[in-house]
Amino acid sequence: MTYHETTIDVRGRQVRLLSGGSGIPLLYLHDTFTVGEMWSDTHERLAADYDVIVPIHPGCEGSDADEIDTMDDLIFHYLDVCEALQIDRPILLGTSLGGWIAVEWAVRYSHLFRGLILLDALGLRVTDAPAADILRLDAAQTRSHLFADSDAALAHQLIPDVPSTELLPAILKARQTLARFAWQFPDNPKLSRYLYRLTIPTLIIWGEQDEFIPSAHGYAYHNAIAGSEFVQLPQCGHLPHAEQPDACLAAITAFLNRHCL
Amino acid sequence: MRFYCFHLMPWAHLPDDFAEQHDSAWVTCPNTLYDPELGHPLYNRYLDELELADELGFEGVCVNEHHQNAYGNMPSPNIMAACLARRTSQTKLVILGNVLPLYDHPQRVAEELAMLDVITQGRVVSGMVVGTGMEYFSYNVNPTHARERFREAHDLIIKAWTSDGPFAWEGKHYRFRYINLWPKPFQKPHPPIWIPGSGSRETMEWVAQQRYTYMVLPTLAPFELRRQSAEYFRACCEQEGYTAPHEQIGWGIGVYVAETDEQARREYEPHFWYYARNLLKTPAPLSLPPGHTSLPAMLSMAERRLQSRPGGLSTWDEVEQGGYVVVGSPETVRQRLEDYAKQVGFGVLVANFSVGNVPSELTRKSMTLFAEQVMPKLRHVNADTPAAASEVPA
Repeated sequence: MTYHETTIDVRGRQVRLLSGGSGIPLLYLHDTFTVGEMWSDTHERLAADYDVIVPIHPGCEGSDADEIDTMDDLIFHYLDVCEALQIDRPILLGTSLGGWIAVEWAVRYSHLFRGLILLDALGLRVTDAPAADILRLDAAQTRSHLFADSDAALAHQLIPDVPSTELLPAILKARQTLARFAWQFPDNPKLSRYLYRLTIPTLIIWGEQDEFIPSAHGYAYHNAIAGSEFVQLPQCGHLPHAEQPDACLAAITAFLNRHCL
Repeated sequence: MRFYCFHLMPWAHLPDDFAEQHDSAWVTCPNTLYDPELGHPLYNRYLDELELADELGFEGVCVNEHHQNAYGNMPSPNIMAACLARRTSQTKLVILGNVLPLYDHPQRVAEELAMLDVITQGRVVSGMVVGTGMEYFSYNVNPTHARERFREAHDLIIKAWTSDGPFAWEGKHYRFRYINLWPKPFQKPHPPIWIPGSGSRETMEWVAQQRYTYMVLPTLAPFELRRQSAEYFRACCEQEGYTAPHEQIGWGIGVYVAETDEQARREYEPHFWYYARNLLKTPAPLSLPPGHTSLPAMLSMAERRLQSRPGGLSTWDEVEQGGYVVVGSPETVRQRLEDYAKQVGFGVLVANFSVGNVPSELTRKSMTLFAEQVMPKLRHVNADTPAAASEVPA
């Protein structure tokens, strides 16, 4: 693995940062489930062609939660992070909670980004296919909601029945971060009416077996974002980059090449 | 020692196969299991029991607050206190709600408690609680704000009770241009405050700072674990520069008294298991939503996970030896409670007589035996003042 890890100060707030590679910047807004593997093989392979930057969300392991309570706070926070790192017109990629942050950011400031990639993003309210109340579920139920193959070693590694002492603080902080922004209803009921503002190249990737945020949400994003591309991955749950890294990466690479990014 | 009678008002009519058929007595427990026709006599029976406590000379009766569950049927403790206000004459009304973070208008809590305090000429004791994790699911309140909202609502209520109005409140979670309490509480500066807890260190540190009474809740945890909580609280008080008087520590415990030890166990045990196996049935994610319990507390809980698991209780011997409840003849109960009182140093005993689905006649018998044969012999234990020691049962 060729990434490096630093902590930077952003307006008095500590932000942990993983980064690697060079080229066009790719800002990666992470999910709250893969805390044991914040820099995965997918990151590594993206870093072969891009300058991949993974800022750890406020409240997750290594980054201050400070007074970041709302989605607006998060967007101002990430505007500050981009300024501090002098990231210029990145490709914005977000997965799960990170996907929600990405889309809320991009509908407000789409000119800041070359393109948008969403993986099983939270954020939409779809009345006939509601998101599951994931924070009510135990480890086994969580695995079956997040993974197509919930018995696989990967599922047990990322969502263990009894987390190791080393990993437990990071897992608890990630759960708190998810709860802070996505308690019970992981959506913004008004988001769909603003999606017309997204005019940059947009790719939506969804795991067919995502039982946390059903793929109807992916279709809803796709239908509301003009010109967006939609790729649904078979044998895949909520975390495509972890469960189907090859197919996920192929879809991302094809999209980026098609748009000369 | 001072004696308080605690009630949970549990739903006593769950089917025999409840534990096999359902994974939770909370939040998602289907309310098809609730029957108002059975609820009517049950509520009134429970209220009668608390009125009996007044007649028997308990210093106070305790009601509490839980939502959408079979474990305790008092979503509004203030309503239960109101029912008791004019049906009792001596007893203090200890309201072990309100679950402050659930409410967007803390002044409503301040108002209702002030009303009760004025109506009863100052018999109200105000509990204030963060509430169980389950309440945050039932009321859709973000648990990551629970502690902040609790502190801020507490500060607002105390100010509403003690400051002249109108005044403005500008906080993070609550903002009001006009706080102006009508009525104000009868007691000055405000009703006494008890904070019930189940071992959260940050809560105990704060209660010690405020000099409130800390009440160790009668949760189904072993005596030793609960004793350690009281010990930590006492250390917190020392840290604050004072020694906690006995009556600053309340001790909640399930109690059952019968003529002999054998009879007590025979009459009580099946109802205890109804409580332990049905009413406490709660999936862990429901009781521990993120942020409801602080990170350090969660980490230390993970460490001692195996020490206290109600689900792991399966034999009466474990219950007895762990000191989960105190059950026996008047003499056995006296001995055990005196021993606990000396080990823990509590000066307020908060006894829960109606555990699970104990029938009313047994509850009333147990309360009466306790009041007549146990209370008089324990009164001198851990008494802080001569006045408290000289009080006699009515």
